[in-house]
Amino acid sequence: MNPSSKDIAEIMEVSTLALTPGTDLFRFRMPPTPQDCVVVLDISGNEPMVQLSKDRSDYYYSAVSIQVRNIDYLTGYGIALDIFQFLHGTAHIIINDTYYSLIKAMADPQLLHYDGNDRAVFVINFEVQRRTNL
Amino acid sequence: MSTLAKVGFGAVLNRWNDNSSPGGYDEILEVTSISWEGATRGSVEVYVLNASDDYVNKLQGVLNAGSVTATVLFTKNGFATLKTDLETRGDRDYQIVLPDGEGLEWSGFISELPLDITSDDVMQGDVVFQINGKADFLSAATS
Repeated sequence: MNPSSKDIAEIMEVSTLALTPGTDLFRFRMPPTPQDCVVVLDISGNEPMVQLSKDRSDYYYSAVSIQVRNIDYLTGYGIALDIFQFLHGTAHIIINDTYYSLIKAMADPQLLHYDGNDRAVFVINFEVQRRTNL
Repeated sequence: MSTLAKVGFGAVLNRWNDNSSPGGYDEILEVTSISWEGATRGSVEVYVLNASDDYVNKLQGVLNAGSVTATVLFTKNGFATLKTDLETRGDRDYQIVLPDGEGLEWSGFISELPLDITSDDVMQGDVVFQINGKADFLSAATS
């Protein structure tokens, strides 16, 4: 099973979001360049399901944070809103042998901060329910 | 002296399968919790007129083994089996096997088979097993 960030980024790659891996879509960490980009990060989710048996306790409530950096506030917000609207409510997807039963936004896009170079950084956090696809 | 407390993780809910020969218990899968409400004894209040202390006396009533409720995640096959039990007249044997092999066994029937479907969590239902007669704790559950 991959980190959720890797699979979610791959779901975004093949979407209509017009994001290109390595160009303006990144995983794991925010790169120093380009100025305008999107990054998918793994963050703390909720506790996984515990059934009475161990071998069936592999249903996870993972979480990812998607951050959008842009030199223009409104452009950055627009990209974040597009990502939010695409991912929120996406369900029943199988990717890399993992079944993503539901991707649910924890809130709509918010300004995280202006970084050291005065670029707006927006954040959207998603709960990601998933298990191994059988 | 140390505590003998145990956690419920590893407990199993079994259903007697008489389609095999010889019959045996099959595990009911995808169970997240099991709750036995416990046995109760009714009481009958009696009062002697002009009792000097004004207290009510009580007589022991009959025993009721109650019911067992299990939270079961939905799978079509799992719920279809339980639905068959619900629709069948007559008792069936069920058992809870605790993590250390001890158990609780009873005969009874399913009285409720609900299914909760929500937008943001797994589908599940709290299945209710009515105990007919008494339930017995066993030092080692039979398989």
